[in-house]
Amino acid sequence: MASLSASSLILFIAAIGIAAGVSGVMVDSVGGISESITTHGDSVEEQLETDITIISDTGSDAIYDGTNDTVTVLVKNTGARPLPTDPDLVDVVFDGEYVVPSSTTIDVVSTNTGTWKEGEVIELVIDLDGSLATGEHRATVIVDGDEEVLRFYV
Amino acid sequence: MGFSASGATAVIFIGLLVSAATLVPAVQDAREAQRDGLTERDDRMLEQRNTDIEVVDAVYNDTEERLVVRLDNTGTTTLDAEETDLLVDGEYVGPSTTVDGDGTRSLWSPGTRLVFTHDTTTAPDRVHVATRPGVQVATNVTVTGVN
Repeated sequence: MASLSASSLILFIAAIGIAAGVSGVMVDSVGGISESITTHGDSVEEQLETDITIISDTGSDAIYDGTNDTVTVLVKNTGARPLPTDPDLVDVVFDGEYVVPSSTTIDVVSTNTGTWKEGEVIELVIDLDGSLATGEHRATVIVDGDEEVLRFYV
Repeated sequence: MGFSASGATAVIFIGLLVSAATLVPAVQDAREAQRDGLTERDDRMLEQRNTDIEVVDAVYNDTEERLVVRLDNTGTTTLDAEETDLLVDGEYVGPSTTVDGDGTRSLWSPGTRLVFTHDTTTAPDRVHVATRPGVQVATNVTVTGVN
């Protein structure tokens, strides 16, 4: 009788231990999933609130500077949240090639505050390796998942 | 044995409850954030569709060395003069603005006229105007007052 009670107790402890382990792992995993879902939701909201528009005048000669071999792109924040002006956070692809952040400079030209708030315009200057050949060119600016393309002729 | 199974089931059930209590608010928050973002984007797109501007004229007076660009708000969106950008020959400039003749006014309501005044010594060829919702217009400059 005593040995039956002891074995039942051992089985009970083992069952509770295994169940607690399973529950613990499940709660931990679901906690991680919940955190990911929250982060993803915030990220989607940020992307939906991000909107940029290139306002450079492609009918003018101000885009390409043949003396300094630079391309200047004016980009307006037409979204609903301030955007970063750090070249590391603004991706530029020129004629299909990624432009390294050290080759771009960004200035907020519409205000002197230095922050790219809603409605403000930045001047993005791309320092090219050499002069541009005559023909069609294409600059793509990507900020927080929003992408805008500028096509111009030199 | 029966008691062990019941105990283990109770422990796992508690774990399920705790997991659900963590997961459900996270899913609700994420959906709410997404819904807010979509609503905001829809509002922006509607504002853009309702925005329309027309260039009345862009005149450079060579004697006064002054460029005057007049624009009408022909849409149904109230724009902001401070958030309307003027490019002269592709260069961003900071002109002075008046709305219906008032230099202190910034709200560019439908049916009113925005006038940009920019002093420059060289006669520009072209102006380009961009509004807050992203609607843009461009026109060539007429030069007057040439001696």
